Amino acid sequence: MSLIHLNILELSDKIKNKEISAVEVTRAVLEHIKEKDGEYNSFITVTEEEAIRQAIKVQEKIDKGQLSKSPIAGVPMAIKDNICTKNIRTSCASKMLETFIPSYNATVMDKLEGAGGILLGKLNMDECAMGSSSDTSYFGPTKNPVNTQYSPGGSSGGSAAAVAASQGFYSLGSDTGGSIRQPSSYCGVTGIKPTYGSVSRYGLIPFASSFDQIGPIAKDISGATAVLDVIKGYDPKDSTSVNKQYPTYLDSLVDDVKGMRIAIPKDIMDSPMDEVVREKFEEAIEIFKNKGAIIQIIELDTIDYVIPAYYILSSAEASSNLSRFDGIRYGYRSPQGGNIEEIYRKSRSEGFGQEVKYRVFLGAYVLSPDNYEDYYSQALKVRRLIKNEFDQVFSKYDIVILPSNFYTASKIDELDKEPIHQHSKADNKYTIVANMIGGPAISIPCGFDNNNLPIGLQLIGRQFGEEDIIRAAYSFETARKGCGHG
Amino acid sequence: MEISDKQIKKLADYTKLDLDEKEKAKLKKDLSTMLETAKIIKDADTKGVEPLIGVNSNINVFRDDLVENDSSIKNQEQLLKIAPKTKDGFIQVNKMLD
Repeated sequence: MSLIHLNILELSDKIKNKEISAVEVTRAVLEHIKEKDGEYNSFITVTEEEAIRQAIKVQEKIDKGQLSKSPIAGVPMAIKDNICTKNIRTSCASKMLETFIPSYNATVMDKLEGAGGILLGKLNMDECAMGSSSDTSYFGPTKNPVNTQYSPGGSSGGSAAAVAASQGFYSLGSDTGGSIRQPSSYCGVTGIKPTYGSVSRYGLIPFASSFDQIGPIAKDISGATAVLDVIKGYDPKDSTSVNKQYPTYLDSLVDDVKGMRIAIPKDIMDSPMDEVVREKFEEAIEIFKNKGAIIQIIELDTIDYVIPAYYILSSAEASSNLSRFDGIRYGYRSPQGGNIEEIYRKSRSEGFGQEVKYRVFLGAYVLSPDNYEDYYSQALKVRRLIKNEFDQVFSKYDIVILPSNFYTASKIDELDKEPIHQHSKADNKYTIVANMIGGPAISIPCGFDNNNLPIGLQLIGRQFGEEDIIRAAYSFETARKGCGHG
Repeated sequence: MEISDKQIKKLADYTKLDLDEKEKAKLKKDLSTMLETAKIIKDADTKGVEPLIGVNSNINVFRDDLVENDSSIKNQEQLLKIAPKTKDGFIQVNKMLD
């Protein structure tokens, strides 16, 4: 098997056993990126020289025995371009930040470096993380490596595509309303959105601060879990970071779901979806049943609130977060002259794409004095209703499962540009639940449709319930491998 | 739910965005559609329900007011380097007052 197609733990072992060096594997991936990225456009910035420099330093540390406890030492990766990397351009895929070079690392970047991670570059995404197709990027759309006529999904499209195309052994994405899980599903890779507050947001350029979480994407659940173990943890620099003892999630890679209580929302079974997606989901249910899990169908009262509440709250938060982009201290400043008001307006109007403007507008609308009570304040209360209902669900069940997407990837030239249409799809409301309640969720591959496009299974857990969803995902993946699904 | 032109102008002023006629028309339409969808929120029964401000229990997280970074001068140079326009160690902007 070619070097670049190994999974993280396999590669990490070979490096530890001195079968391969970190520099050798870094060079191999960089070659592959050079070869393929003209076609896929997963990367906004490739940091070739810096990657080799880092690989040399990491190999020295490995040789001295300094990284023996790290499961990811010497493994090259890439991260979404909304995560700050010191001295390396971080653009959010926006003209507004095309020239922005952070003077500091995001905490997750420091953690990965400390564990011997090697940064290959920064990955493409929907502009400012707003979107679900990665085609709103200022740097052009990313293509799905499984079939380049199709979208990889978004907003972490580059992160999912890079892993699917072996342009890195793992990536980091960010997930506000499904942006790790949906593209992971479309590209046939495994993505984890951690519990809100368990991975530091320091250095993540914010979209919606009470929803955003950084998470790993890898080829399999073991790899994604190994990365999660490195990036998780309390960070005093993030005031929403939760100060608690986090277990080692790698310990949850156990093939045992006997007695696990699994809920399936009733209207998933009744929803229109691709017939092969339905078939694969029903196969997944059978796998869990055969392994001794207890499956029950549940009804949810608040589920129809999820999408509108999400749109109101996330747009309001985005509107506030994006007000920092004013063309003054960094980023794009309009070359057209004028007084200070004109600088603000022209820089922002020229610097932001359409989807970003739409969300900023919607946010301003729901926060404006005449509408605050009816929309924003109401949505905060509705969020409490949704959380209360899911607290009830998770008092009786360990995890909730459903298809990650009801349909497989869309063709790039058929992507519907209407923002409402893209986001009101029935599957989104379940995906967004995880962000709404702050719970963890995984998307793991569960098959292919008749066009060979990947299908994903989603597992949602209670807050800090990563151990259950990781164990369930590992059991599922093991069963599929056992049947030769691969 | 119809959004008026006056509301669009007000929002453009709040958000410091200039829009051409095509963008205005599209925003008006998209906003109106979203607000139709959001009616379910407006009409929801939330009597006695407390707003959920954050999904975890962190409240009023403080840190001591201490300088943590010793390389302040180096940092200043780095920050000025990425400013659009600088002069004599300051970020230069256009005229603010007439």
